[in-house]
Amino acid sequence: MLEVLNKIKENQQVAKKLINDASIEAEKIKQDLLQKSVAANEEAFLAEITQAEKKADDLQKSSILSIDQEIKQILSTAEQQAKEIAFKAKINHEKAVNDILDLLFNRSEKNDVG
Amino acid sequence: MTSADALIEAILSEAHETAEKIILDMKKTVQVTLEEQRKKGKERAREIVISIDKKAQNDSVIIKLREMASAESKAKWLILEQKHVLIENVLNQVKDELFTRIKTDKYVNVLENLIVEGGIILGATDLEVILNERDSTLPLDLDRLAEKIGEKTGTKTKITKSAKKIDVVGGAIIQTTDGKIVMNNTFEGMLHNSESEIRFKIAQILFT
Repeated sequence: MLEVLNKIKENQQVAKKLINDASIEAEKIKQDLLQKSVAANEEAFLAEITQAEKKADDLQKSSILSIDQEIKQILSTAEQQAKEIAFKAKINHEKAVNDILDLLFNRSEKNDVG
Repeated sequence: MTSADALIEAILSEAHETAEKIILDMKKTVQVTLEEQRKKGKERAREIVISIDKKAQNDSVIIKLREMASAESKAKWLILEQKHVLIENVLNQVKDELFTRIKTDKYVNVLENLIVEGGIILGATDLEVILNERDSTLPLDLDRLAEKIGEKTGTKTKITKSAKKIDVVGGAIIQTTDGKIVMNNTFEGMLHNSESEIRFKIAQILFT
C-alpha cells in the first residue's frame, strides 16, 4: 500500500514538474514577446511611413509625366510660331531695310538745303 | 491495470494537458499582443502619413505650375529670340547698305541736311563739323549751310571743318568750337541714339 502511495506521489511530482516547465517556457515566450512587441510596433510604424513616402514619390513622378505632353505641345506651338514669324519677316525684310535707310537719309529733309 | 495505475495515468495526462494549455495560451497572447502593437505602430504613423500625403499633393500642384510656367517662359524666349535675330538681320543689312548709299549723288545733300539739323539744335555762333576721311573731300558749301542755320536760329553762324577725322560710315558730328556741346549726326550715332525706336519700327514692319 505504501509502495503504491509512493508511486502516486512520485508521479504527482512528475506532473508538477511538467506544469512548472510549461510555465517557465511560457515565461520565456512572454519575455520574448516584450522585445518582439516593441519591434513590431516600430516595424509597422516605419512600414506605414515608407509606404506613404513611396506614394508621394509616385505622385510626383506621375505629375511630371502628366504635364510632359502639355509642355511638348507648348514648345511645339512656339516653334511653329517662330517659323511663321520668320516666314513673314522674310517677306517684309527688304521693306524694313529700305524704310530704315530712308529714315536715316530723309530725317532732316525739313532743313533741306538742296 | 490497477486503480493506482489508472490514477497515475490520469494525473500525468491532466498535467500534460495543463502544460500544453499554458504554452498555447501564451502563444495566443503573443499573437494578439503583436497584432495590437502593429496596429499601434500604424496609428502612431497616421499623423505623419497624413502630413506626407498632404505635402505630396501640394508638391504635385507646385511641380505642375512650375513646369508649365517654365515651358511657357521657354516658349516666349524662343519667339523673342527669333524676333531679335530677324531685327538684327535688318540692322546688319542697313549698315551694309549705308556703304552703297553714301556713294549716291543724293548723299551730299543728306550730309548737308544733317549738318544743318545739328547746327540748328546747337544754336551756337561758332560751329565745327567732324567728318570721316571720305566725306572730308566732298564739296560742301559750309558758308551756305551756316547761312541756312542762321536763318532758322536768328544768329549769325560760322562753320569750320575740323582737321580731326572720325571712323564712321557717314554723317557728321557737329559741335561748338570749344567742344562743349556735341551733336552726333553720324549714321552710327543716329542708329545708337534712336535704337529703341528703330527696333520698334523694324518690328512693326516685320511682324505686323
